[in-house]
Amino acid sequence: MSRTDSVLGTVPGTTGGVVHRLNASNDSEFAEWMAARQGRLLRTAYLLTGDPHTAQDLVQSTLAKIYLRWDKISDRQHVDAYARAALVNEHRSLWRRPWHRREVVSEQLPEQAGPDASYDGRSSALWAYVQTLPPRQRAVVVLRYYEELTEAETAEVLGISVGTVKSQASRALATMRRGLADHPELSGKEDLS
Amino acid sequence: MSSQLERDLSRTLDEHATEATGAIELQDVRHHAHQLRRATQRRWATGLAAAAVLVVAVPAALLLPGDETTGPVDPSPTPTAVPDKLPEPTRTSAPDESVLAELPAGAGPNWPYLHEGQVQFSNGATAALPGGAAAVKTFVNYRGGWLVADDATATTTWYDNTGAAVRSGRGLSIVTSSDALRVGYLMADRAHLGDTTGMAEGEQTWPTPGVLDGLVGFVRDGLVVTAGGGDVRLLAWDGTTKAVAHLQAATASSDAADLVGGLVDHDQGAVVDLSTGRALWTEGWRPLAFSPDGHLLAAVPLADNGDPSELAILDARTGATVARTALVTNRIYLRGTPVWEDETHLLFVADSGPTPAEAILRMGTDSGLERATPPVAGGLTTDSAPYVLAAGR
Repeated sequence: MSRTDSVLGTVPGTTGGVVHRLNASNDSEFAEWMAARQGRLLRTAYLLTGDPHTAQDLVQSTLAKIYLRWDKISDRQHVDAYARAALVNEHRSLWRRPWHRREVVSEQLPEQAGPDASYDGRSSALWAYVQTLPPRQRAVVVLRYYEELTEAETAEVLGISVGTVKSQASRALATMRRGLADHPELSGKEDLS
Repeated sequence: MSSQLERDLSRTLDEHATEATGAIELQDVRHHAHQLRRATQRRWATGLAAAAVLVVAVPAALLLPGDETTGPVDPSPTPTAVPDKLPEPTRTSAPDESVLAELPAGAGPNWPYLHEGQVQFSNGATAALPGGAAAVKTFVNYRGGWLVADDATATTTWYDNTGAAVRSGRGLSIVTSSDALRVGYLMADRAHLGDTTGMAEGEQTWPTPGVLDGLVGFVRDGLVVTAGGGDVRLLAWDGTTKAVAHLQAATASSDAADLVGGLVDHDQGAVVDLSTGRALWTEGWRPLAFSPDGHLLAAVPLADNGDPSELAILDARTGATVARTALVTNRIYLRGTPVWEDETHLLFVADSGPTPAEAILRMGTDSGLERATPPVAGGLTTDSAPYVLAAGR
């Protein structure tokens, strides 16, 4: 049982008690939006955290905050961008906790990559590298290469400068490129140049 | 997106994103929202109470949570109001079933802390913290005013003695020297260092690399240890930087002993002696805070996946365990970074269950654990922080 679970079990609401609710129209609208978007949010959260359970907690917390603000989000066209920013910010608050284990960059190619010359081997190596990136670099990588945001959009979501986005992405790619270069069987043509 | 590496990376992320599993029910979201709403309502009450006791008008300032925002500086010192007695917490007390209520009650914290929008000093003085105290991560008395790091907006704001914002910008790092005479903070991609009580003399500021995660603390020569991007550096007074060997991330430092604590890989912590450049020890502890004299180190296990299972006091130079106390098995959850009250006692904010409650606890080198404040309802959610300790040394 997670820490959150232990609390939820003692608070009215989980078994039909009184909880905060939007009016029927907005509640229905939120439910519809959530059903359509939670899959994407979960996938992004998983890439940010690398753990499906943490990702689920992250998305639930994010959705709860959006639920509370739903009445005030007048521009529904931008709610997806709002949700993405909220998700990243929520994740940031998690990894800033002082006891949170800080992921660090390794100079060694992760073991799970293995000497597999196929694309699968290269993909596994890249995923392993993503999981060892420092949180901010990882967020930049996910937003740039999964969410396919521009550098400016990424900067806006993370609240950092475009220059920082560039430098973070550059460092992440350089780390991966160096690691792959040590394993020619996993390297692409451009990596070796 | 131009290179093969970038294309492969994008494809890799697409593939692994499908590993996300589970589904979230609307009912759970509603319930979570309900918890957050209750916490927010408590914060509003806190803000209103703080506003009611403000005797000076607080100039309005538009603080954008982006680039640094500046305003005029009033150099005069701030007298803080000293009431006849320390006010009792006004928040609803935690129900008796809180495990915090079962701990022995000790003396109040000999360290400033925030409660109900008021900074409580050990001598009984109180002062309203400007800015509404919405989601304060940490704070410190600075030049007659306050430096406040706000978690909700990820910004730090310097308020003068009237409560007016002098300057604000992105950043959540506030560190103090062991003698509490110097403060370092991060604001809008610049590191600022100044004397706590300085008035006429200006601060020293330096641009910081984009990879900077935050300031960790002071070391002997007035250097601030910075960490980010997988490396650790010292930011010298002249603005130059140099790498700290052995560590891949820094988490604590001591200017008294010239030590830096941090991580050497995912599950190993270490302490490095800057005077020799050597790692003194490497163990499975995450360093959190050195004692003022640098002899002891508060740490938590790195093997824990989530909340720390215990809090330990180590010999800083050997890594030997001096004291330890179990946390999670006692349903006590460490919140924030502990601070050293004196050379032998730690203060830390703790949440507990089964009924959500929060209190400031004290742990000594004898492993003893006691309450330094009454437990109050709250905690356990990111948005609820009944107690916040001032930035530690």
